[in-house]
Amino acid sequence: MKLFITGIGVVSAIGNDVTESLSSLLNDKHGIKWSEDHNMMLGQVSLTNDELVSKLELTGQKISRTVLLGLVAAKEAWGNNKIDDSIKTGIISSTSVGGLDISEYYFKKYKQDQKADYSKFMVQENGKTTEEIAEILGIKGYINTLSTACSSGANAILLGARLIRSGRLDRVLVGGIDPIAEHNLKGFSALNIVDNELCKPFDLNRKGLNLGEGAGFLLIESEKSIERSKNAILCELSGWNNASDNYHQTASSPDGKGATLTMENALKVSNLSAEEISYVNVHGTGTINNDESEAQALKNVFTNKVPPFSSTKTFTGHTLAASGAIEAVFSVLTITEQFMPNNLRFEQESAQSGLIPLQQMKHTEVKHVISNSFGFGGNCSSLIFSKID
Amino acid sequence: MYILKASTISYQPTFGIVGFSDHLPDIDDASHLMHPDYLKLIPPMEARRMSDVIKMAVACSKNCIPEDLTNKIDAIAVGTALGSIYHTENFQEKIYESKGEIIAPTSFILSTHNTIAGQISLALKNHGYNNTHTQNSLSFEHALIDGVMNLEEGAKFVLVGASDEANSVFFNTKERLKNESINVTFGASFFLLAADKPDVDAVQIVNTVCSANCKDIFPEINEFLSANECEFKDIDYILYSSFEGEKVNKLKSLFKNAEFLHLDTKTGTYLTNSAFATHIGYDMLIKEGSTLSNVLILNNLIPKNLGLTLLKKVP
Repeated sequence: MKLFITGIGVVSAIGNDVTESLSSLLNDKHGIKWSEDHNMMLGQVSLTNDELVSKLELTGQKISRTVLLGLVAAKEAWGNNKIDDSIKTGIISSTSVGGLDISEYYFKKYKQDQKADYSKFMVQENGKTTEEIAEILGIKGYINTLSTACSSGANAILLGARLIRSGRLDRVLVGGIDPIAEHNLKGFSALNIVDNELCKPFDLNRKGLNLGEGAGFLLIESEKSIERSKNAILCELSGWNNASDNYHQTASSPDGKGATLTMENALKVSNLSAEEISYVNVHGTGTINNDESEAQALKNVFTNKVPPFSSTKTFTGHTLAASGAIEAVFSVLTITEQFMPNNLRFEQESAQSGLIPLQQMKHTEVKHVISNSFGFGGNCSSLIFSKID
Repeated sequence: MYILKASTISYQPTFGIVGFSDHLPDIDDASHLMHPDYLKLIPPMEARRMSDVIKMAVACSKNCIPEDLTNKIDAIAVGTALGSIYHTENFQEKIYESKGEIIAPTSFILSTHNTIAGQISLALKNHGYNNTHTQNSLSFEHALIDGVMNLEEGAKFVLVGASDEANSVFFNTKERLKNESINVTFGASFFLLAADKPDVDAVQIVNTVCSANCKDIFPEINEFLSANECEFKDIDYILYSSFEGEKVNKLKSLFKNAEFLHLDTKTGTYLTNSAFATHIGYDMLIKEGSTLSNVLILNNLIPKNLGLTLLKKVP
């Protein structure tokens, strides 16, 4: 059974929709800036919470930025689709923090007066964010949320694919969301893997990652679903896999075991050989550890012929749970628009990896794309998107 | 798809005891979590860093996988409503107290929801599929569906389970469920699932479904039964979670042959207690002299969310 992508939506530091994001990717325009509020480089979405609320025409109580960002991307990907009882429809979102941004706000108040108003923490759970998005879109039945740190978005996509393959669903809206949360800013700073300048993935002198925020959503449909929806096909979702690195809670293995396994297994699902891959959208965080491990994995999978690759985190920053979904949207765009985005700011190859990413945006033939996402807990995922003949 | 073994850490004497379902007192204010001797299962250095939610999950996982199958687990799927809530709040405390100074990353590292599944993969030295479902009261059922799909796709052995830890500032179960009368508990339950039927009497997972934002549970129940070629009269035991008397009365009038157990009276209330209930159902079917054939776990703890799991004894 073939699976198709028929809708995409994205919001990040490089744009509030697909059109703006594409324009940024085509023009080497990144969105990472120094934040005076947080004293670090951040890829922030340009809209404030109030602006998001009015853009989405919402009213009412304090809404988590996770829900707001998620809704922007989910609505764009969902488009004018209608609930149709003859098409089994589900939604899978993913996030690392859920409504923690709201909890952080009230936690400080709680610490000051030591009175816990538990009702303020009602949007804390991850699951709640997806329920709120589903409610607004009118989706019911299969509503799920995954949380596997920085591979979350990719896992939502592959779970959606498997649910359709198994016959449990006909179409599914899948994605990932993470807002800027102090928890993650302080956490990654504590780990000492944040670059205070603009990140330089795969460069010899890379110092770490820049954090970002955003959301990405994709609509996956079966042929049966498309017959009814009549949606235009953007590309095929041809392969996917998740594997465990089994090395360390936060660090990636030097031999890239998990990343190698997941790319190889995804290729098997797609029935493609490594030589057929046109482009790899790498995880490429810019940390010493990730890029070294991922470079080794690329060499393991592609031997001496590593395809052109780039990290679009050089544009958006590392959007954590959203990154797998945002980069999946970008991967779809490389196929629909036939281009490969730049890996910004790369200067010097590392002798250890010997790999050189794309150094400029390139209009070229793109047939099959691998998108990689790796998370804490050794959680490694790869997706493969393919051009329709 | 079959359950080969199950393991639960709870407020009841469950850990490592087959037939425990015969001796379950009702949960009351005096009930407390019955921790096993973790050091028999987890190296002391590692156990010390782990919060309850991780420690319980790793211990249950090890307990329900026989040694000869340890390196044959193809996939791990975990459900957790709140994840690593202790470490999350602990890190918030540290941020608050630090006033901008440098903070130790330990709590942050252990705060992601998938720390549970990640630590299990490390403990089992597993390179397989690894996923974490975090959908409130349906987190366990979603993990179970994922595990079953892995078996359908060709996996031979799959580990599925749920783990949640105590109340916190961020999360107050009574407030969340708008119910002051419940006994709030927590715990972990894990299951080793196999694609092939074992030679001995076995328990089959006939099917699991989740329905969210569901206005009326009864059409969903009808559909579930007919999809599994089952009628109301075939079900002989129902473990349910619901605090709505009228709904429960209607269920009782439909399932005329079934004995009913309000599962929260035995598990206490936490958002993944349907995992514990699934273990109770499994134990009831597998224990010696059991006359039951079909057990339904009906999770309607949050009224708009419905989880249905049908277990069947296969001789």
